[in-house]
Amino acid sequence: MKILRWLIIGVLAVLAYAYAIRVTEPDPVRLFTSLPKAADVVGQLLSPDILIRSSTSYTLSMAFPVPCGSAPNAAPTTDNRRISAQPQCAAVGEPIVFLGQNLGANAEVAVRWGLPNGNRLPLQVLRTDANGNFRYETTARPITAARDGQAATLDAVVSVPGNQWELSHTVYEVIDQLFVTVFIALLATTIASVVAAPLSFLAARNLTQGPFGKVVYTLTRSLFNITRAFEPLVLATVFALIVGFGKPFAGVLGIIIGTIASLGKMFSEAVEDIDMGAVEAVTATGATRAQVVSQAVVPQIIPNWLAYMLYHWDINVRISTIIGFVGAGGIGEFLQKQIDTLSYRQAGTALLGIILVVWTLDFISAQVRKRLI
Amino acid sequence: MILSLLIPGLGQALRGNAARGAAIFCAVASALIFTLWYRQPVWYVFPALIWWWNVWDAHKTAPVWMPFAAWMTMALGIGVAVTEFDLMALWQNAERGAVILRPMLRPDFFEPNSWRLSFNGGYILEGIQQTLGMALLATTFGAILAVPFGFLAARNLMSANIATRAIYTITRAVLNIARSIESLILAIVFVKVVGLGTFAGFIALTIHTIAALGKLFSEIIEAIDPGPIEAIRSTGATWLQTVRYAVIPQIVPQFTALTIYRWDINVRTSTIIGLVGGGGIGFFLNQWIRNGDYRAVSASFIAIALIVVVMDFLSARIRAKLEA
Amino acid sequence: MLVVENLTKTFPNGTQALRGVSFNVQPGEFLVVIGLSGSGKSTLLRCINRLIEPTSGKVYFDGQDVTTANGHDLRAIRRQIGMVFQQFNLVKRSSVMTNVLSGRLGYNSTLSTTFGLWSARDKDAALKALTRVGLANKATARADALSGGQQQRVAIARALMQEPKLLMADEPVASLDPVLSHSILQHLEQLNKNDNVTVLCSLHFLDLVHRYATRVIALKDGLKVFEGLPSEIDRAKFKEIYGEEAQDVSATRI
Repeated sequence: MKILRWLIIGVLAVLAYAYAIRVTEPDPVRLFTSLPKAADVVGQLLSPDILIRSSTSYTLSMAFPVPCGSAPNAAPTTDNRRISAQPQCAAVGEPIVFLGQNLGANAEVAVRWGLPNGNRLPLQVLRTDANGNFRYETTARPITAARDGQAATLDAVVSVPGNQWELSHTVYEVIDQLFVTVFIALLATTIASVVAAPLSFLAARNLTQGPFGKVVYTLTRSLFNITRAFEPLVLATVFALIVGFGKPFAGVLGIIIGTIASLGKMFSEAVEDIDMGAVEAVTATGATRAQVVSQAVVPQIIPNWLAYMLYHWDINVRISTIIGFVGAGGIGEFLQKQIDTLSYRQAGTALLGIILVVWTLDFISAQVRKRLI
Repeated sequence: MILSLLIPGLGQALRGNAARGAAIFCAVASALIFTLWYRQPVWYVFPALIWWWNVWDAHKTAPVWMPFAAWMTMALGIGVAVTEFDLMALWQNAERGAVILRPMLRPDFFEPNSWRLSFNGGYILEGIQQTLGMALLATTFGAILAVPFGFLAARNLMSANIATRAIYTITRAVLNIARSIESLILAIVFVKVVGLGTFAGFIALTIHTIAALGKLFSEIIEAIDPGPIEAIRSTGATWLQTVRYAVIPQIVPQFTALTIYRWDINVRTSTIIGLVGGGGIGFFLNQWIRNGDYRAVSASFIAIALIVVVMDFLSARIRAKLEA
Repeated sequence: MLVVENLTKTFPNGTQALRGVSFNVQPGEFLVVIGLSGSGKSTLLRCINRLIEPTSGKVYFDGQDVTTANGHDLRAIRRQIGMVFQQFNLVKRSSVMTNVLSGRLGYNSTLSTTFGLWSARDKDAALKALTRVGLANKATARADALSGGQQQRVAIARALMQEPKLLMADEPVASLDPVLSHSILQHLEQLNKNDNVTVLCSLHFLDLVHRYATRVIALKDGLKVFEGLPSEIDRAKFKEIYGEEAQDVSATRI
């Protein structure tokens, strides 16, 4: 009999796994073939964009008439750092050698055309040699032709690395987004607590007696249970549609609903757990109902409630790190944008920030909760 | 008191209340960081208030609710500003809300007036299958792979010498880092690596499961009662017999309960992992949201809620049975 | 049958738990080790079957050197020495039957026991052992469903399954009510008298020693400070073993 039962369970399990494998389509080969890509992505994620070399940059530019005679040639300069071209002018299709001298060792140089219509045509980013020189070969193109006697320019945007390190722009943006994330969680938790607190009394069995009380109890409890079945992320998508895509407000609303349900349930369990002995004792002293609540009920539940709130803040910070994926604000939105544009190093910075914030809050909330209870 | 004026909390710490000192320092520091970051002169009042209270507190113990209230007021104020919290926005967008919510009242599961699945209903069924399959596989693989990590991250097994202690520390650190990254974040990375679909979601869920269960498993292993091990060894049992009769009976029921619990969480997560391209019902939900097909959106909401409620119930029942 | 020579144990943290303890155990004895908690009683018993590795010294069991035995030989020695612990050390989530059967692990192959396969003979013996300790009706219960006294009786049944020549009991009654203590020790006494199992038992309370022991050794700070008959422990000896501040309460509590 027992064997038969295990046999049935075994067969069912095999079927379930077979089915699961079919719909999930796990593909070890793909995992293997994508290893180089994974290594590349992970490598970039692990070298987050935090510090950058401070650098000074300047732009040099010289007129280059195409074809010759359409505009005056650039006047030769005697500056120490200078750019020049050979020849000094050219017809469309002719080769040009673009040279730079004494621009600073190992500087990054972006060479480009400054077109007569004001647009720019980027050519290449190169590096100068140890003497600060570069050499770049290109050809004159029709688009670079002079117009109305005004020649196109050959530009070199030089940035010379300095000796100091500074925080990258990404870091500031990540910190900004992390603050938004933390505040989404804080606001949502606080508001949800304020709403959940009165509701929780309605969902506490020991306070809802009598036929009417029972109805209230059942209603509130089922409300909590049904709401809990909706993921904050899913709710946030709807709110994002209503209040506007990319607004952190949508995230706050989504998390509030989820937190009310979950906190309400926890709160009410704390109320159910109160020691009725203390309530009796205070009642026996002839206290009014309000006094009983303030003297015997509140002191018993407040530490638990605070602990649950902290716990939820912690959880909500985790949720709000991802709620941006559905357009509801916070670091998630930034992270997704970076990954979508393949800026993995910037994404790495965001990941690092998320880990730090989650850790810190985890630690703080655990410490405070330990003291509360 | 003077020390508290210079560094908030230092006075309290020196008077023997290190925790209070640390808390005060954190409060003042965080208040300062927030206000300075947003450079809204009005808010500077709050760190100043808490600082002033801290000096008073160093003098003679002052009521705690005051700085707490100040900090919360500041944080909520900044929070409202930063998150663009505006209940009026809900009202102003009521019309848009109505356009979205009205079709949601008629979820799109079946063909009109029949019990045949509609076009979108078919996709919902497919999404549910993917979601459940992904969660089942990820939980199984994750739990199996978490076992060795659990042993490596158990302090009591790994404190024999420096080498094992190093392994312990590294394993712990890796698990902790991996655990603080949500599966959805892992999913968007893996979507880039292996492409859209259930497979990416499966990998992300598996990794997160390994990290979360590995930590919990290691705690179970650390809580093993050494007594039975001693007793079984004293009967002349071999190493393998000792593990089989003294270690496994102590850990397997807990491991199973935790795995079932994790399965519950994984099903929840796999309903939404598709929102970032990880497959499952969330994937279709995302499409419908983008296309504005709100009838299908509400149908998938109901489907997700049903899955979650059923899993909640199942996992609670199984765990209760395991406990007994 | 058991010879302990100059046994020393120094723990890695520097604690000297045993300092050159020597004594013999004769077949059929009920030898009791007394001493304050921390005097080295538990360490002594665990060094005898090498649950703890002694630092130096020798232990001979039936003429066989225990301290140099390894692998198979050590397990063969261990299975002849039953052991009962203060905290019972049952596997709480396993059934009583499984716990008792585990006493026979040393007699069975690793492979069959790994799959939980036990011979009918072993199962029979387990039931008999449980009957002896009066728990035959609890065989299918989970160990943690039993009371402390019952758990210790299961632990005795487990030790019985080893068909031991020597039964070591490490403070077997320290976690039990006084009334239960007598019931447990009576089980040990019965084994000692009827089955001719030698018993080596550490105890706290002096009156239990007077009642059950045939011979006593006393440890203090890892040194053997007394060896003799229970009747030889007078007030002066008691002070010497338990220290000046000790009152007779520990001896008269029951």
